[in-house]
Amino acid sequence: MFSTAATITEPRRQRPQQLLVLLATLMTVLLGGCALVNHETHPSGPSSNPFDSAHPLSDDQAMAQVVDPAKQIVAAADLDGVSGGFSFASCNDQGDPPYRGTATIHFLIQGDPDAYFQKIQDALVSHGWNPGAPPGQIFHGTTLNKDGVTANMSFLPSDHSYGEINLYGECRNMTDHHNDGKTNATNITDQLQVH
Amino acid sequence: MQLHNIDLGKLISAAGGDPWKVNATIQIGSPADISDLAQAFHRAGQSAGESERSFQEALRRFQASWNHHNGQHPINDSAQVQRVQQNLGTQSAQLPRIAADLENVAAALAEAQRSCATLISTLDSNLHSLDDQIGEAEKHLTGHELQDMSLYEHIGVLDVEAIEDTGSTLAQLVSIRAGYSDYLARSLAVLRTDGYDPATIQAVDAVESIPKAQDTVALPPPHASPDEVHRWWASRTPDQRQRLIAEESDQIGNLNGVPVSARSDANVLVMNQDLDRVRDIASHYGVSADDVIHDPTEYGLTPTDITRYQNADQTKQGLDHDIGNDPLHPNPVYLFAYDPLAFGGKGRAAIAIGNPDLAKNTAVIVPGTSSSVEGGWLHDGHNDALNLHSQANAADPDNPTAVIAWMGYDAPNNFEDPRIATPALARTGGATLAADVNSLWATHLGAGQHVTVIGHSYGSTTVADAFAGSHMHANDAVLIGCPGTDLATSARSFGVDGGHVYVGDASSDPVGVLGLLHGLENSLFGDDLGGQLAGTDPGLGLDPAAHEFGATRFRAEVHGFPDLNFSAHSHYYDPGSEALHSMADIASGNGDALGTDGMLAQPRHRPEVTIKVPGLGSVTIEEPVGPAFIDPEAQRPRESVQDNHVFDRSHHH
Repeated sequence: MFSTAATITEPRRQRPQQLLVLLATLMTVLLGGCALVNHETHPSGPSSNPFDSAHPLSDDQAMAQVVDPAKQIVAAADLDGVSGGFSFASCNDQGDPPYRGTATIHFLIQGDPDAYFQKIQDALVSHGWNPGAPPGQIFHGTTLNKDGVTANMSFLPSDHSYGEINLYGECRNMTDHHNDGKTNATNITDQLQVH
Repeated sequence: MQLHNIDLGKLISAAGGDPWKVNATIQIGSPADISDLAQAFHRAGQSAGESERSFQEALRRFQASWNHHNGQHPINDSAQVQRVQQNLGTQSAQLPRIAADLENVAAALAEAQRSCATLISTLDSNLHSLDDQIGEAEKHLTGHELQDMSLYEHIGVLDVEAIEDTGSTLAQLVSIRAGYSDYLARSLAVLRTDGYDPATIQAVDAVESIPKAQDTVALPPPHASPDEVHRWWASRTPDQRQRLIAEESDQIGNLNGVPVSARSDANVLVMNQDLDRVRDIASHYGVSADDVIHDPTEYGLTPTDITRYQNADQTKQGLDHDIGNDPLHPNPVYLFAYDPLAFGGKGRAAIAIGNPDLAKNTAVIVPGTSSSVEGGWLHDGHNDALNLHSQANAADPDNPTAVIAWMGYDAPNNFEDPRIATPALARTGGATLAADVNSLWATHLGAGQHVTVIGHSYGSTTVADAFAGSHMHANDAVLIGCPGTDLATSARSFGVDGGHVYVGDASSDPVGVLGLLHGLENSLFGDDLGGQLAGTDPGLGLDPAAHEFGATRFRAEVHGFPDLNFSAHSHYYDPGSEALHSMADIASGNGDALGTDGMLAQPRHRPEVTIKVPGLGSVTIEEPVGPAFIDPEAQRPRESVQDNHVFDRSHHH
């Protein structure tokens, strides 16, 4: 492809628009599957991917997928000074579907933070959470997972007397939330504080 | 406020102002007196319909917020009410409106007072706690430098926390006061139109919060450097600064060298005015904002007013989005830049999560094609800035990272926009980006700041041009999904301060391999010197993921896309992805950890050929010319790829 391109010398005198079309055409050929980049992909193992397009989640289901575990975490770890919220987040940087539910819990840190985070982790493991990120994910901070939901724990960045747990649901909500306001926070503190 | 170990004067100076003084100016007002007056008008008028509802709602708000501890000297209202009544006529419809307007002012003042009192009380309690902790730490000092080192570090952290708390409270107080002041000014104008002389309520209002019509404070000369602007700002009195924010909001909000919190106050003021201009008219005529937007001239507004309103609305949603999920513990957010009419009405704005002037680390993220304020990039459900903020602070909680979502340049409109194939917009945008980023060095408090600038897609070309063409000063550069580096011909061209040029390119991201076409562009346009200099020739430059470019490549594969696919271009900020994990390391000042985190990737290279060299036998070398299209990342076992997303739709970016 490039050896033939190198022989094109006349186009220098063409108008830029024509050249643009030429270049765009070449890009299209490239993007359309020209095997310029060497791709000897290995067959993937059993899919660890939580996205299941055959079984999309409704808005309510996607919300429950993270808010229910958030409530369980507060109760299981007996968290204090709890507040939190929920929003939908796009699973790409275009703001397009699919979306996932995300929930955040804030809580007061009791005593030494590292020991307290460990205590929370132990409490969650005893309630069926798996330590670490799900297969194929990597996070900074203490991370656990259960039923396709990732829980990622660290400090509240603006106030280290509080801890923060971010819950990420699966990318299975196909609603387009571009303009429905649901990508900004909904307060779920009342739900979290009910033990 | 009594502190034993923290010097209050120094604290106020470091925080950029005195929150207690700002609070005092708002607490001085007497909402009870204004409410009494409103109720007198309410009794005098025959209130019904909208005015009655408005009055009752305002009364409810006032009663909910008034703390009953001030306003113990009711003014004698009867004479005033009678005078106004005589002027307007006994049955005048204006009386109920005046009552409702006055009650709204009372409610707004009471709400502002309550919010400010809560903020001050929280700050006082935090500072007392920090003061005690510092006192406790100082008791353990031994006088031996080595032994005391960690104690001093601990005290330093507490100091910074005190400054941050004070600065953030100050910013919130100023913002509340500006909001009230703005509201009051508009209410007074309405009251005058309705035939009421508002001099009386000014006597009992928080008078200090009303900008005084005194001699104006001069701005610095137009071409002053950020350092000069910062010195000029620092030498203004607190009162002058507040007046500049109120009176020269447009200028101060975008003036490089002014501290971020002050810029933000000014920008939020302008943004709120842009929103209220339309909302007030809509409310006055009893129609929706959409009605006004569809026919602005019918309501005495211009299309420009509508553009301002729409971009203010997008920006406000961006601020609301970036506070995060929990309204009770919002991220501190700052409107770093705001110009709703920029770029032919597409708008310019930048939102900081965390205060870049106080945070040890700041990451500036620059988006690519089809991103704009008008189009909703600041809020529309993708969480690039929030995800990076969360993971960078989790990566290194002790060295906080602020993130600026920078929608500060005119990006190509879409993939059909012919400007996407030329670097002209990247060069212009790069110059603006460099100016904004360089100002962070003038306003940051304390030493050891670390700045990372991250560009995605066309935004990465903009970042490369800011470094190579406009002398941008930053410690690390990150290019993700980069279609080419234009003016930067190697990592050395960036001139990063002590750090690295990092590249994240999924092997299956077709945009990331566009730089491979550079040889073709050169053969087509290499002789067109004019077009090359002006940036109007097609072609965005080199592939920074190629071995010879000299950048450090981190892992950024996207699960689910083994072959070239546009969708692979849109997942660099995904939670759980290799790219976000790597960028969190870099942005938090821990780029060196990429190796131990297993996140370093091999660059792309040319095919290798085996040649026979006499005396040496067979030697395998990389071909010396041509595109470096062999990608070791594409050959990784797919199950080792750290990401969790598969999509059954194709994306257009």
